[in-house]
Amino acid sequence: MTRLLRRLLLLTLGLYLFLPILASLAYSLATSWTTLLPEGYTLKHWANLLENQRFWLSLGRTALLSFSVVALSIFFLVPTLFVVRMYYPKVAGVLEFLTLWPFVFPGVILAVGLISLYSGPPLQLAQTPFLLIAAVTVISLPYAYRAVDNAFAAADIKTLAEAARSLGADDAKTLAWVILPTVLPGVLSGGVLAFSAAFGEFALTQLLIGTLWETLPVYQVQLARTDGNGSAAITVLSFLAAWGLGFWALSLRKDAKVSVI
Amino acid sequence: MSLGLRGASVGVALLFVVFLLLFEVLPGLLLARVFWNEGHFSLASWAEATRPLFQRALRNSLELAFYSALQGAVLGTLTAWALWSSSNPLVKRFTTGLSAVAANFAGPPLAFAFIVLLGGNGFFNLILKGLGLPTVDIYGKEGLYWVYLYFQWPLMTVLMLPAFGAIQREWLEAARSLGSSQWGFWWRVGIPVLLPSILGSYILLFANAFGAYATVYALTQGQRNLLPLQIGFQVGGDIGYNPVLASTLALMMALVLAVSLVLYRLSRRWAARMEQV
Repeated sequence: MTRLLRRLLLLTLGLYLFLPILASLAYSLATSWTTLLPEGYTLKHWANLLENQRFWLSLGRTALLSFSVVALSIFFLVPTLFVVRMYYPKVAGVLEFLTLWPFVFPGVILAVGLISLYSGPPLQLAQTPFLLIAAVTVISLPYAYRAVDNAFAAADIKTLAEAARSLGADDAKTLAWVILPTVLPGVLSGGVLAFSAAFGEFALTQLLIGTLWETLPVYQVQLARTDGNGSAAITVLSFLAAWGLGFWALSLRKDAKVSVI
Repeated sequence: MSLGLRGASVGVALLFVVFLLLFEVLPGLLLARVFWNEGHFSLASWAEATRPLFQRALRNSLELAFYSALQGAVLGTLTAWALWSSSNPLVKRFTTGLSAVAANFAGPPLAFAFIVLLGGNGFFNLILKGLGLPTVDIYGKEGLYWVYLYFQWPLMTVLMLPAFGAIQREWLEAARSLGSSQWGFWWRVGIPVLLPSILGSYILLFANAFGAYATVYALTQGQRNLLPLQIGFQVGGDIGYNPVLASTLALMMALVLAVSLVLYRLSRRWAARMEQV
């Protein structure tokens, strides 16, 4: 009885997670689909999508956005967590509070605040990709922060640094040869999570910049109005990106904890 | 040298704080500006934001979050239990990894995937039709629950796994050898130990659904009276630009999320106490 219930639950979950994606794959390859299975299969929709310049431009913007967010997150988080863990552990509470902020002010709310703050001088950043990059960095911060902070906590860098110093290494050498290699998997996993969050970001993009600087999710919403099959192909691509990145991030850590708060 | 490295890192940390103030804290705090009108405290925008239309939006959003979290919580807790009681490490690892990844998959791709499956001529609906069963209306009220369950169910599963980890399987065996039934064990020991975690995770699921914008926007092209969509309309829609109303509605939403965050932190503290016992 217990075993049956267990199997049924896990099987249903598996079906629930895979069926929508498999159906999208089939739809992106279908000539027409009005009976139980598609009437025929074709690569036409994929070819149309891959020949479309708008698709490549939006994909390029999404990649640019995601890489910028990762670069900015790592640039801020690694030195900050290094000094906080090493010299100012009391500040850690403030930092944690700041990473909880997006929980109370998610994308939609943040967008409202940013638009009213940056629509005029002195910093007229509204409707520029720069504001979008900053905003998406803020929103994906909880993910990256968790991963990088866990790496620093697990490495016990204070002890590591003392050991390196007693062996004659100076601070720069300690950082480059001892601390960075130890925390690298955690930093990388944080970067991958931030990349994935930025790649799929929609609310901030749509509200802050919309079709002026179309990213892949925004383009998909536009495309879906006229070409369901092409939109299904984008679903398949987004799914592959999100799941590939997700499993990569997981493989960089030992536990399979999901990053929330 | 020593000071150079430390100094540079402190410099970046300070830059980070400025960045957070500019793009995180200030935009959030600035929303409260709506309570000032020409230097005086004023509730005029609050009166506008509590018009029946927006009251309904708030109620619809609360209802959606409440039930969608409930569905996810029930199924996710059961799934975490199934993984806890399973002795197949491969199934465990695979399902855990799958859930951790799926819990973060949302937005337009997910909405369109469900339209393919549950739209008018969707695969699943064709099966239901063939069996003579009622079909699912993905654009209707129930449709959102089907889509949200896609991330809520795996999210609850991963959130509950550590809590189940605190329950030793030997306890169950000990209880059974003392004559307790399996149900008796869960009723007297299992559920009390799990309860704080169930509540805390439920709150996270609730907030997750309450603040979600992307999935529902793509699914209905914004044609639903929900709080996040109403906020979006006021700043980016075709209806008009009304930042004061948008800020007030956003504050309303932030208030609900802030209460959720406090409740979540309290439940975490309670859970930590339970797991120590």
